[in-house]
Amino acid sequence: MTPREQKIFMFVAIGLVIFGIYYSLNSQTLFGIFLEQLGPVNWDEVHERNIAKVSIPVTLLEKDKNRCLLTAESFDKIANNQYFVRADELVNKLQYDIDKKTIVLSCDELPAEKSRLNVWIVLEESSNHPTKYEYFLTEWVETPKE
Amino acid sequence: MLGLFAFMVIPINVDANEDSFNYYGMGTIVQFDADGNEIYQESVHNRIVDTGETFLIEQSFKEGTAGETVDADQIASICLTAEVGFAPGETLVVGGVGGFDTDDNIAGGNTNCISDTAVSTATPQTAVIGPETFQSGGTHVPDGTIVTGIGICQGSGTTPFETCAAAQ
Repeated sequence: MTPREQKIFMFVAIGLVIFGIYYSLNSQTLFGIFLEQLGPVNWDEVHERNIAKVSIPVTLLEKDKNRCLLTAESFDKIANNQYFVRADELVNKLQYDIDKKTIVLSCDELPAEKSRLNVWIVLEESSNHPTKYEYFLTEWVETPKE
Repeated sequence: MLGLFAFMVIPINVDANEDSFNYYGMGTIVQFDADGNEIYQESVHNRIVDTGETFLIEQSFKEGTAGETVDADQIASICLTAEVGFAPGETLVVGGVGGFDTDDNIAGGNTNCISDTAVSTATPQTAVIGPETFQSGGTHVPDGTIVTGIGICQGSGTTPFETCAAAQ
């Protein structure tokens, strides 16, 4: 193969890879499924039925610059949830201390001293974004008892 | 590089249940401690078991089991429409002034709805209406009728009958 032919071949191959990336993002392909796992959850693509939503109260213990230490007495219920396949990831991310029952968050994420830690989990049976999850904090509003 | 391209376009057969109709319920469980403070909340879908599916089918379809929803309100009929531009939608008001329920663009006097006297539930978790035979030439629809849609309606004591609305 001449150098010129090699260049043409390389450009065609690169073009095919770029097309392949675009195609796999918009079609049901093996590579598309792989790529989907890397990005955030697109909740519009997940059926309500395939979302498990859990939440617990968290309370600010201490603040150190932008690092907030919070009590999370019931965090183990989230970590041990049967649908939460990737719970270990969140445990590590929030630096959950199982003995002290505390977690660490950026203070920017905290709406108030007492807040609700929400975790939305995509069930394994979902055809879109299976096992992925997201967490976010909202103001604490007590759920009324009937 | 070509191997990578080939890998990228390998299709995968994913069950497209996300867009199909799924009958489900969502349960929310809230746990309180001894002092009445909320400590945990979870919302997750339920799973309808076979017994539940059978129960729902028996309530919805006119299969003739005693001691349930009044038979007159149960589903058991097939109706035809010849409405131009008919298209199924979320509400009944598609095609025509009153929608499928009353306007079928089939000349009055034609009985284009047939009611099944006993919907079959022989196959578990399945309801079968019919089979029903529609005849042209004035029996059910006039000759030359172009059927544009089919609707499933409540049962009727009189069969055949004129419109879906008449079944109720």
